[in-house]
Amino acid sequence: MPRHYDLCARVQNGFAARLRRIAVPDTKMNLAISNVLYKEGFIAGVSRGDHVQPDTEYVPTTPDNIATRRLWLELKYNNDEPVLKKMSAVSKPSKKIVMKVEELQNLAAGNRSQFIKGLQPGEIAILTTNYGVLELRDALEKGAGGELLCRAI
Amino acid sequence: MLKNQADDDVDEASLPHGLTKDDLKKFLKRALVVKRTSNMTTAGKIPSMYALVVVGNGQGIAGYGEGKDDEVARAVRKATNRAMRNLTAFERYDDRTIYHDIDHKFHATNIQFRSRPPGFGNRCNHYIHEICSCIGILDISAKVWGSRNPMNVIKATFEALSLKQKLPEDIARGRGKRVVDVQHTYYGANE
Repeated sequence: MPRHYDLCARVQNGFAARLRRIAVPDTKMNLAISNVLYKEGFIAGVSRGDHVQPDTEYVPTTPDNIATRRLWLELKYNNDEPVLKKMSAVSKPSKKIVMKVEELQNLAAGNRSQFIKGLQPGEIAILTTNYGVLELRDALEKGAGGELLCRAI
Repeated sequence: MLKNQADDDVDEASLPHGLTKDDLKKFLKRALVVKRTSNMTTAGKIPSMYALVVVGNGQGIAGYGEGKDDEVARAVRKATNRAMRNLTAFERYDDRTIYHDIDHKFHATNIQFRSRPPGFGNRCNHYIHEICSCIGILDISAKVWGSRNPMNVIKATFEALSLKQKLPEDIARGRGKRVVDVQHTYYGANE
């Protein structure tokens, strides 16, 4: 079961290698985090597919093809530079980071909280809440705290 | 021996950003490093004076230059002329601070710059302080880790502030988002 830091590594390395698209394991968590990245504009698209290429038409996931199922993320570049420079895990199995709303407000303002540096201009943080996997500001709108999975800039 | 072009006074046509020689006269000039160097030859030690001068108009345009000569005054003048030739424009948020925190490594010098609110002041290494007053940065916090060699601190600062700043407009364009200025229009900063 790949953890969220696996996705962070794949996305960051894919951008650094200037790839057009990358294949990551097809799991609910990976899909949820990829959706947040897509909504924030870091990647151009998310689609399901084979281990070779994305699907052109809908292919249901069955026990026969599950081993080959992947999520394909289309990467974005602007002005000869990757749109996503760095994506790193915050909460790790060695040290889990769960934040309340007040602590998240601190982060959003750019101040340190629980030994986690505040967000810089253009930086996002992805956390899992009772309302699902959300970006930090969306979680604050809902008034929800949760486990801070990763941050991307 | 050919006369070195860098030793002459600056040619107005070569100045960037629409500057004139009168503008240059009003520039801040700071000779930050003046050293006595020696070149070891078969004839013995030949001493020479080295100067590193930082110039800036306090409104976002600054540059640095290095010069060497037998006399200090001439070395400083050479360095100043070279600095006038190597002017760059620096981006400042609100004309007072940098847009975001910057970490930069130059040779053995690591510098961390932190953007700070208005009225904070330039609380940083004395060389960075002088460079900030030449550039026109009013609020910044910086820490130099590793080597504090003056020449490298100055070069690291110039590199970091010119290369590593990302403007919100560029970030937004890459992501396909709109940037809305909340600080001024909603919270009324600077009013």
